[in-house]
Amino acid sequence: MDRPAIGMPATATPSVVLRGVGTRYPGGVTALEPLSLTIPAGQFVALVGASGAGKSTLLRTLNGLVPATSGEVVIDGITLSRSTLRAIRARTGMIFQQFNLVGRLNVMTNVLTGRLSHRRGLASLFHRFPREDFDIAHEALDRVGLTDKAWERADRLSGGQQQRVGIARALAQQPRLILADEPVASLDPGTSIEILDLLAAINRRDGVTIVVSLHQPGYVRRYADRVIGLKRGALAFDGPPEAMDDAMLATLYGADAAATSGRGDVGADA
Amino acid sequence: MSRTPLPARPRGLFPVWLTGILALAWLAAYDLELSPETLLYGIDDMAEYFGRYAAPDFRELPRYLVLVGQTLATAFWGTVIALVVALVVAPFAARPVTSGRIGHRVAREGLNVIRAVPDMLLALVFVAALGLGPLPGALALGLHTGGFMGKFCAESMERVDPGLYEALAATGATRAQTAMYVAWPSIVRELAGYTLFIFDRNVRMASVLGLVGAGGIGFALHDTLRLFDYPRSAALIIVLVVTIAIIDMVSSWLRARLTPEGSRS
Amino acid sequence: MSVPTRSPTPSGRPPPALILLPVGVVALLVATAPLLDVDAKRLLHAVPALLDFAGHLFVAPDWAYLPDLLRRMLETLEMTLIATLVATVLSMPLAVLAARNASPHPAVFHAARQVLSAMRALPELVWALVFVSAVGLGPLPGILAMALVTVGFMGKAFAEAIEMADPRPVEGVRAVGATRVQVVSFALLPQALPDLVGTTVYVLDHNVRSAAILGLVGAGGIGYDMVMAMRLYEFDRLTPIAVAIYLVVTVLDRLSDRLRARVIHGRGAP
Repeated sequence: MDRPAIGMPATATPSVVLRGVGTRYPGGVTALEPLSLTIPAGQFVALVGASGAGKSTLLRTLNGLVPATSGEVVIDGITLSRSTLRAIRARTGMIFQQFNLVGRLNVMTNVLTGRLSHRRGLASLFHRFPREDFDIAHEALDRVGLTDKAWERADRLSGGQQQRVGIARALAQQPRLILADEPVASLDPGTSIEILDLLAAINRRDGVTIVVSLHQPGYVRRYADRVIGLKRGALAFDGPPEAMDDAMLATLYGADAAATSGRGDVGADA
Repeated sequence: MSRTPLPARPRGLFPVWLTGILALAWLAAYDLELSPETLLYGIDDMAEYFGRYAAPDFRELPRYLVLVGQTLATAFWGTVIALVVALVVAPFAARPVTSGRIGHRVAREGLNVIRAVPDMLLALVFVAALGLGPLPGALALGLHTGGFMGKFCAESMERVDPGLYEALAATGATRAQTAMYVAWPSIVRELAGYTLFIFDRNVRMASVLGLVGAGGIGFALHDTLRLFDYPRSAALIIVLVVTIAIIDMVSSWLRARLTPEGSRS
Repeated sequence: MSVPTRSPTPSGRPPPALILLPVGVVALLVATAPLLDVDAKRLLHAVPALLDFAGHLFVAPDWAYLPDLLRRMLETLEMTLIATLVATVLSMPLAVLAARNASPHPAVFHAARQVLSAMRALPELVWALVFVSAVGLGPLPGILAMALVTVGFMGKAFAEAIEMADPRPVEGVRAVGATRVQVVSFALLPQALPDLVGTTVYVLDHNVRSAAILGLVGAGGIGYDMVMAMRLYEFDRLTPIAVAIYLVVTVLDRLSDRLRARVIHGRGAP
């Protein structure tokens, strides 16, 4: 690794600890075989694997959007459970392939939703926030360069801009960990680089742990400190990006994928 | 850390609208002399009042069932009349099918007029002309809802892909042929939906037409309420609720079958 | 001399559905005719009576009655406004409980749906009859009756609009650790709101028509005057009343068509 993770000291509590975490959907379909791993604070982790390999499920078990049916999820030293769910989500940002913004609300309100977990009062239900939250949201918007769009409706923005609003929403949470579920799969290559550069900057400058699922080996090699490969819901690879060779890709994606890995667009249609 | 200043927040008109509407409502309440006290006293009395309905008297159930039958028959006749009105008028009211500007205007305005006159008023008129009974009720419902049916159908016809009309016009078809071969066949599904909707509505209306002497179960309910006969009123209301619930269920079942997914399976 | 024709079907006969449906309808009409006392002679006799009636309609209006008419019409509109507004406000919380994706519990969902359909079951006039005998004559029972039915109708329509909401923004807001109520306020309601406007406008239109006839049972509005004028053959009042109702209903009808189109196609859209 030529790029050391900056931010958290090496002795800090690991950001993510999974102990035998598995997910089985009602009806018996296993989405995730029980797996164990530890992600130290400040790491930039890429999650790779073919569509349906369990990347989305794994990401969603980390913040309880999909409950793990076995094992234990520990985020920042706190075990995920019904009672800690909101506290963990409050400090865990999530970025989605389809941005998942509320299209009819303006950009500022979308970013302010990142503050909701800290505001349990009645005022928040009527979309009223304290000055402090506006400052936090303003700063988050500034980081992603969209301050001038603050009062526009979210669905009027381009895909890349919407994803930046998604990142601003995550930043407004003041997160320790950001989960990103194929954040660039719906974007063109130029915009994808912008988005991943933003995530890399957040990772290095603020020491935020980042777990991002990516299809493109090119991006994985360029940004990740560590690669976790999934195949049919099971852990198939865990190592530095340099170790992710064509043979490994072929195992993860099937034979065709390895040949196209140079183009860096494997499975971009997913 | 210096930040890019936020742009000025655009002023939405929503608060203005909200304030305006609330002010209007407050004025209206003031003008109608509604006060919270009246309502609160009312609530107190109402609990006692509704208690009087607690013991429904079903001894006359067979007569009620005949009345239900009459109500349903009135609604059915009304719906068929509405359908006939729509079949005749809708093509004229639909821009791609109509035969001319004048025909179009006349049909449109005609539908508007019969829609605007309440069916209760029509029923009053028909009762005066025909005497008491369900028949004037059916005529009133038919005419009034014919206005709705005609409008709905005409709007559906205007939503049909213009290419279809163009294709038939290119063969030299007459307006009437266009109506029969493009307009109606293209909106069969919608027509069925509208018919169900109108029948639903007509059942509800037919059950109150009795208030103006146009037969049905409403007439009986009006009588028992006037005589403060709460047990019988309760029985009639229950019969009415059950009837409407059954009609609702049947029509939503039919409607589910009308949707594209339903018909394919 | 007519040319023999055949239908464009394999057999040359019209499709069975096209024959069976009209035949069935006519059979049902004939079968139910006795219930309605349908009598051709009576119908024919009615024609001159109707013509006579129509002739009477063209009379000079009773100008002295005009202020009363305006007052009654205003009352009708005021009743409509209050009933619709109250019902809109009351239907929102009920709709949230009656929407599958927002309801706190399936039992609550079913209960709320039942309550809403019970409210819708009876027409306004029946409720008005009941309320008049409960709280006495005047606009109050009319408003109560309209509000009750309207809550039932709007509650259902609005609950369905909430159920149609895109689940992705919901996931986005859930992921930041928002409470259930916050999710409703930030992700579900903003999406359902345009539908609410459309429904409200439709209901307003419907309620004006209802309010115009509620006077029939003494529940306020223009209906009472209408019935009395009809019963007493006061055509110089009946005609202006009918014209007034026609004007109000038509103006509202046009307005609601336009407003609905604006909401559906979005305002200020490019």
